Amino acid sequence: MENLLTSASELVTLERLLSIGSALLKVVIGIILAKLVSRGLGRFFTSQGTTHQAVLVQRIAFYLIAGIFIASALVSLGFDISVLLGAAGILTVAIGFASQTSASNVISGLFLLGERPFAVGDTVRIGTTTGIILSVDLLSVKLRTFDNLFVRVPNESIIKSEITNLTRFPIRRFDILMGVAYKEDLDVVRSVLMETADRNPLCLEEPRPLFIYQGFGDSGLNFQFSVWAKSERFLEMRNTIQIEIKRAFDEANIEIPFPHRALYTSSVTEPFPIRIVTDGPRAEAA
Amino acid sequence: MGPSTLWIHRSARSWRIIHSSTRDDLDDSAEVHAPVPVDRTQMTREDPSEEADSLRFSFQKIKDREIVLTPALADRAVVIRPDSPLYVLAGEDITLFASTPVWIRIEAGSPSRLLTEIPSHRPSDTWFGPNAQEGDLCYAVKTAGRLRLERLPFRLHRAVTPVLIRNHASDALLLERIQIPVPYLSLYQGKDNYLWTQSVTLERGSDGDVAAVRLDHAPPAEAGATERLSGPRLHLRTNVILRTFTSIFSR
Repeated sequence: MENLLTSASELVTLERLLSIGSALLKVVIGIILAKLVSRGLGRFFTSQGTTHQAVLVQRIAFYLIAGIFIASALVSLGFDISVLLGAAGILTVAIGFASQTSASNVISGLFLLGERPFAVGDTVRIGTTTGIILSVDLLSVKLRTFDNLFVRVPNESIIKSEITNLTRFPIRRFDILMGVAYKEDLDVVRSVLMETADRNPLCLEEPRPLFIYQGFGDSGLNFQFSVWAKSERFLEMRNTIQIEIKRAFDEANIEIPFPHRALYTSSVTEPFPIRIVTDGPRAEAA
Repeated sequence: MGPSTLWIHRSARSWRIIHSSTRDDLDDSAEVHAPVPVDRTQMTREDPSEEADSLRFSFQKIKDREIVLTPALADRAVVIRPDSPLYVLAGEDITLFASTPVWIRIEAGSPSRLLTEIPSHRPSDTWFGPNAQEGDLCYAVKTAGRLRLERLPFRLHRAVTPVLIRNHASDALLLERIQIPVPYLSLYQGKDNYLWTQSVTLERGSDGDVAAVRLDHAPPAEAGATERLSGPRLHLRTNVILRTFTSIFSR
């Protein structure tokens, strides 16, 4: 009983009381100051128009200032703060693991800035998304698709995957894969196609349109006809040239075949008998 | 004028210009009907088979009823081909005559204001450069460059440019395509009302690569007595090396 009282009285010496008092005072002042500063900062950032950032800044400021004061209060009470620092070190490692993707995005962003595979205003295709680059930011790249949708692509995925810049070079080639019926003369087809490309003012004369024969297909002769145009007029050229080719083929009586299948009953029996009806359903009714 | 036909109609507050083209570069008609009876313009405008472009310019301040049509040269460089690829031997010169279609400038009012420019024949686009990544967009002209002036078909809606090519190098130069810097040339009217530009000289230097482009200051002698119609669209600075020649040599 007496030992307890002695130890209790040893604890509650005047110095001790003073130091506890000063620590408490520090904590209280710290919290008040933190609240004031954070509120002030919050108001400042809200007036700038960004409430999201304002709340964030407010919280960070509060915890930072309050934390500093509490730490100094603890130091004055005699606690060893190196334990806290050790804990902070572990916390940093944990944060490091958690922010892996963000850090990788930032670093990818820096590499992209240096490498410059595209610039603001270029049309790019990333995966299945095609759009115009609006901005190249620290963590991501912002695109506007042709149907006016906003797409955010993280820098990390750009560095890792293949992107196609559609407007890097000034001219672009359009490949038309088509086929004509087996009965057609390929020289005639080729000259009709070349003449159509010639007449279209958007098709460049040089580099020359290409006619590449692909092979003997199931239903017809397959070939590729490639024409070049300036990148800006590419879409217009693509539409007009295909319509013009169809028209030219119609005028020259060149057939673009439907898929063909030959039917046999068997190799031994006769072919199917067919009766041609010249009048329509009226004959049936009569 | 050539393959193009223009109908110009003035009402109290606007000019209307209707343009249609037969797209046939070799068409050589040249007629002016002024004024056209009103019913004819109505009929033409309603004709659906004509692919006509219509432009309308409105104004308050233009009081006079005059409209001025002047010829002008193309707004881009023009690429010509000699009628067959030919070699210019070392130390030799040749002159090719090329003809390019003119643009029609339509102006009204005083001081005259430009309403629009319409090509008499819209030539095909083409790319002129060492590869598909660098180069310029030019016009390609179908009529070949001729070695002899008599062989060049003269048309009223085309301007003739003599191109003098000098090969100072030690090997022969193969000419397949030549780019003529038309926006830097001036337009002159020569004898028989044919249109000419000044000569362009392309020199291939002795090192075989880059050469100089020189433009004459006066119209060529072949044009006869001339009157200058318009100046160049762009002005050539002496140190500008045009792409004209790097692509003569490369394919």
